[in-house]
Amino acid sequence: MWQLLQIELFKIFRKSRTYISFGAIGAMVIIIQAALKYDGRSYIEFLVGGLKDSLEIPYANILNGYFVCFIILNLLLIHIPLLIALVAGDSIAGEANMGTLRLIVSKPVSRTQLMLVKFLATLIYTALLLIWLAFISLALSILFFGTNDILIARNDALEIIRANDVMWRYLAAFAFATVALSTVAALAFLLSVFAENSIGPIVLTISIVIVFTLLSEMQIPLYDRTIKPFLFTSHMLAWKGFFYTKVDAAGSAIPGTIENLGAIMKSFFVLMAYIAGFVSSAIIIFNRKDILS
Amino acid sequence: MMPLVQVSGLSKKFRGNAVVDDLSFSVNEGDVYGFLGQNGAGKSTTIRMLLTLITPSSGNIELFGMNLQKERKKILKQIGAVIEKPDLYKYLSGYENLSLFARMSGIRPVKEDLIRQLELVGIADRAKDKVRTYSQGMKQRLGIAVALIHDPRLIILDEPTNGLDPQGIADMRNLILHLSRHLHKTIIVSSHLLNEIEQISTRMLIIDKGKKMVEGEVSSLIDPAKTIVEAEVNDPAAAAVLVKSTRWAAHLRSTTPGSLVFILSKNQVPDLNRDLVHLGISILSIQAKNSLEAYFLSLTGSKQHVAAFTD
Repeated sequence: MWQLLQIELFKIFRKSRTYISFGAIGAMVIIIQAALKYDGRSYIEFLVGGLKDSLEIPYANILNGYFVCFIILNLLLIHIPLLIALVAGDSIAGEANMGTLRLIVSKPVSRTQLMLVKFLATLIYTALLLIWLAFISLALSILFFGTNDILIARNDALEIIRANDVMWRYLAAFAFATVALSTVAALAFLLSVFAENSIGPIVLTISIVIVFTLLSEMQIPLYDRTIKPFLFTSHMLAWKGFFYTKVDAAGSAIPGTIENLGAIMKSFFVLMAYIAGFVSSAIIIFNRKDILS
Repeated sequence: MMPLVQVSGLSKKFRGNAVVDDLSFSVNEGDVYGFLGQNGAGKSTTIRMLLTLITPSSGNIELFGMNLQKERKKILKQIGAVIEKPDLYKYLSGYENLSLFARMSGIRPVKEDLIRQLELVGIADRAKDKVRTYSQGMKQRLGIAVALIHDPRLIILDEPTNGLDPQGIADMRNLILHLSRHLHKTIIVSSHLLNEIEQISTRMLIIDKGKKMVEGEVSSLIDPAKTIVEAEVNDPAAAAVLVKSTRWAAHLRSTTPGSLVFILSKNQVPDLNRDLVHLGISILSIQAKNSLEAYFLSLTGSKQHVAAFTD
């Protein structure tokens, strides 16, 4: 199993396409950091809205590395599924397209093992992409902007989390984001089984994520009750919950607390169920598939 | 002696259409087994079933005395295959491809083993180059190296000369003969090129529309005693009726739109010619062919399926 995993990782990381994602994330993060370095004040003014007229906003303190990282995650995590689909959608369909699928399936390896290893390799790719994102969005932001308390805007309220209470929240958020993006990877992986060209599963995965995200964001009461709880996209942004704290009687954030851990855990299990469902389906279908490519 | 490959009653249907239909054959240890048929005859589907790429609709496959469904891994460890085009990872070098597939075959070769294998197929000097820079012939050679790297007992080559130039075809033929004669491998070679099969195979199977036409020793299939004689006549249907009342009826193999096809000994041709004239049949030409190709065409050109060829 370990040997097969090494082979899969070797194949993934010898493809130039793999590095497009790392390059794209790096470029986008640096562009955002540069813009905030140049004119972060305007962004904060936009964020606090009318509060700036009634409160004295400490712009210099707010624009710190933790805050910038939070902004980057808000802006980017919704788009990263597209980059995940590039590799996950290629895992089986790409082999079929190259003509190598018939060769690897005729080797003395069970199809189930082959699929598990391929998915595991996709998960490792997803995790590495998130680690890369964490490194450049958090480490570089801290380097360029320093550290301080973080200001979180929630509906019409602002919440301040102390600097010494932030890092564990980021670790938890990145871990959750890995699970969320693994759901997208599992979907692309499943669709990849049906195709003999990687374009199809990549485009279909992206389309499904876009449609589901739109449905998740729609404020229609009927959908709130009937559809949204079952869409995986509704649960993918639950990482934000790690930055929502319980508040004391004075309205101040209580360090080390999470407002609604239950909701985060529920989203976690929903996403895990989706991953299990997608991957199991992919394995069952692949085991019954005639390899004609 | 137990056959190395024993296929019985093998069928495969795609959406109700039988691509392989009740096919049975056996391959003995040491055979270079020619698997012949026109394009679409069902050769590749059969080979893919031997390699578990396609699940049979019915029938049984045994290799090395084991059931393929039950002992898949053990069996596949002993098979090396090139299936149609030798598609490999183009973004990797030949050496990397070979190393990768060797490990997938369950072995851990050292560098010297890999280089030796590349030398055997004549591409060691390009080992470090990306496969995307290889010619078709070089890819084919690398595909053979991949098939051989784990020292399999059985080698399956599906249309191995496809896309090769004449020199490449000759090299491939020599390689197959080398593997058979010097390394004592059992080889199944599928092709629609009969002269290739004729030159390298010891035994062969001809299939058409998924059905077995003949199976036997190549030497017996091109036996002069079984010469194909094609008599071009004015009205083949009427001529066939006349022939069926004579001793030549047993030799009449098929009727084509322009001719009658017989199988007989070459020295019987003058007698046949004389008797046809006596029957009042207008003969435009009469031609004796004893090559495997003639035999193949006489079988696959006719609608009827003949019984297994007796060795």
